[in-house]
Amino acid sequence: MRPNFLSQALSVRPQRGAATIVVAVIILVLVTLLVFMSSRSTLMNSRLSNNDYKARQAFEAAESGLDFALDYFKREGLKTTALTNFCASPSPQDAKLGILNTPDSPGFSYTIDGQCGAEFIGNPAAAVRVAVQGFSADGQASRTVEAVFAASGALPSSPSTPVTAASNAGSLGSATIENAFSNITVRSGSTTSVGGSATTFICDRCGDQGAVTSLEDLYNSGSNLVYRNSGVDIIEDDPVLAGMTNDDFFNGFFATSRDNIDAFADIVADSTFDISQDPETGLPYMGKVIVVHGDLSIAANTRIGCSQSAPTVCVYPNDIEPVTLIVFGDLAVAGTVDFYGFVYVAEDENGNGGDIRGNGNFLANGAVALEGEANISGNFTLRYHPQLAGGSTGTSGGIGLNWVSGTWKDF
Amino acid sequence: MQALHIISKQHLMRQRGLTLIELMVGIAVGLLVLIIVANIYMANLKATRDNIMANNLDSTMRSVMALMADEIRRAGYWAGISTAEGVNLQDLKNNPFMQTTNPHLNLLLGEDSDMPANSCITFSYDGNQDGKASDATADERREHLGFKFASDAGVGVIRFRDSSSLSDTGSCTTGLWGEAITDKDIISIDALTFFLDGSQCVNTSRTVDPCSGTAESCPVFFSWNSHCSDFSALNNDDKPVVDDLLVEKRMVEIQLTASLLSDPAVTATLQERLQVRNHRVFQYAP
Repeated sequence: MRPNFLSQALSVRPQRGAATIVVAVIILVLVTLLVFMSSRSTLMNSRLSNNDYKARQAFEAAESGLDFALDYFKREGLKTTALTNFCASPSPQDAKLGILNTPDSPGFSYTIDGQCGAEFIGNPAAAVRVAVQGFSADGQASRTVEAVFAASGALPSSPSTPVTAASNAGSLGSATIENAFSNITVRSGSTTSVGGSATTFICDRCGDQGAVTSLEDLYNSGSNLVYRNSGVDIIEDDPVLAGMTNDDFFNGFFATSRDNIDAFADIVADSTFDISQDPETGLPYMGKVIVVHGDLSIAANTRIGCSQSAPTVCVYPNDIEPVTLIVFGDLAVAGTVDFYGFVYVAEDENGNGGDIRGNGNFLANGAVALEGEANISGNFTLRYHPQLAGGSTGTSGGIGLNWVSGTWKDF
Repeated sequence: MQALHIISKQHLMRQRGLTLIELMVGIAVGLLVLIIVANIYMANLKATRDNIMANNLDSTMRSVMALMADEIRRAGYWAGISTAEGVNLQDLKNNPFMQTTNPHLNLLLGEDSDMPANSCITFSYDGNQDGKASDATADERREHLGFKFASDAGVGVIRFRDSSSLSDTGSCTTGLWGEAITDKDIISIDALTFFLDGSQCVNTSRTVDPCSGTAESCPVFFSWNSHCSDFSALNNDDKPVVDDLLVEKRMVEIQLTASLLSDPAVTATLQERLQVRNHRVFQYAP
């Protein structure tokens, strides 16, 4: 082996290229730093947008929780048991939502800081305040939103006419119908003698009555209002009503079908129902939604919707909590009966009933809707009042339960 | 040992250095490589910087958008609604945070002086939850909010209204508009526009014949784009009359375009559409 080969093999030639490697290393370090800086910024940005996404997810979850709560209380009504079940943990709504809202991966929760997010407002409850905490899919972000759902009366909109009669309604007999608020007394879908021997009174100065709340001031003799009996206050053969089936007619008042109305009632009863006294309070029935399947007979000297027993005068609004009475059958009145609220007399499933009958003196304050006819051999007097015509908000309140605009907040 | 000694000795003796040509070629090649690498490095550096700035622009715009959307969504909240007896629409028309006259606290589009149309939004909500709209205390004045597109020394910025007295509530020029919420040294806001397209107006007091299914009410629906006030598209029969109770469902669309001051070519546009959660209920007064 020749020596220079050996020397080459052993690399003992002086090292060259030190500068090159130094420069290369410096450039490499700089580029690496650059890449780190860039990726750090990109990572930060993706984290930001991820947070943004999670926040949105949590917000939408909370909103869906509100919708679910509204649906729940619409279905169950503002009943104490409904609230108890709602607040129970794990609550029934968790189960119903199934995989979307399990305890491991909650979409939203009504339990906030150990407290139930729902509370009733008013006694009897007329509204419910619901606070919902929504979570992102990974549970790291949460948003809380709150809203109030309130009953807006058993009827979606208070009837504006004292008597509304369906397309197949018969006569009103010798009824006296008084309206101190507008110039319409009867609206009917039929051509039958709605008027008959009925007497109607309308206001002379409609529109001034807002401040006069006392029914006595409005309707008793000595009133400062002047009535006139004109005849044009009766709308017969109303094409809208004439074109309706009884089901449509019912829906128009309650915004729900006949089959569903029981769910919103405080009391569902049959023809044996005794409406003369509320056994819970010992007083007349107040502020309830009562559904009777079958003929209902009201005994003499009964008051409904007023806390004073006869003959004490019922003072509006203190003594009165209007009642919504729905009868699938005939409503029979014996003796003197005072009613405050809204009466709907419907035909039963066989097409029978729908009439107001009897030989008593029936004084209805509020409004009446009929699928049959009113034919009372005594006196039937109807005094319209828009607040009473709206009927009961109901302790179950489900019918009119709706989200109250202006109560939504997320702070 | 002997052999190694000989090798090293021979080696040292053979060192003769580099020629000038070799040296010059070496330096030239070295410099060329260095210049190329430095160029790549600088390009990288610039790309990274652009990337960071674009990210910055993006995240700023997103957070500004989220802030605006969250605030506007709350417009019209009122703690003073009594629900203990149930409510009806008539009760809701008294919401002070949705009034349009004396003072105008309702959501309103406008613009700062010399700025494009609809580049400003003012609104209010019951922030301290006392049920009152007033300007008696600083706390109350802070319930009157707004965002506007403004110009700060020629650079477009977004300003947030901290507070205003009641008389200034519907105005984009008066009231206390605080510091810009965007950085005028980095980002230039090029456009900010609010739209109310897609909003709806419902007349709850009117019935239309023939009306399918309901006896008592069949509301008139129509779209609107300027505060439930433009009814020119409706038939005369369908137009609201005095004291009709109207409900507005309000949609707000926000369009935001911004660019980097350092590189105006880097621009981004964000668009968000939201529904103001509290509908406005009011009595029609022409």
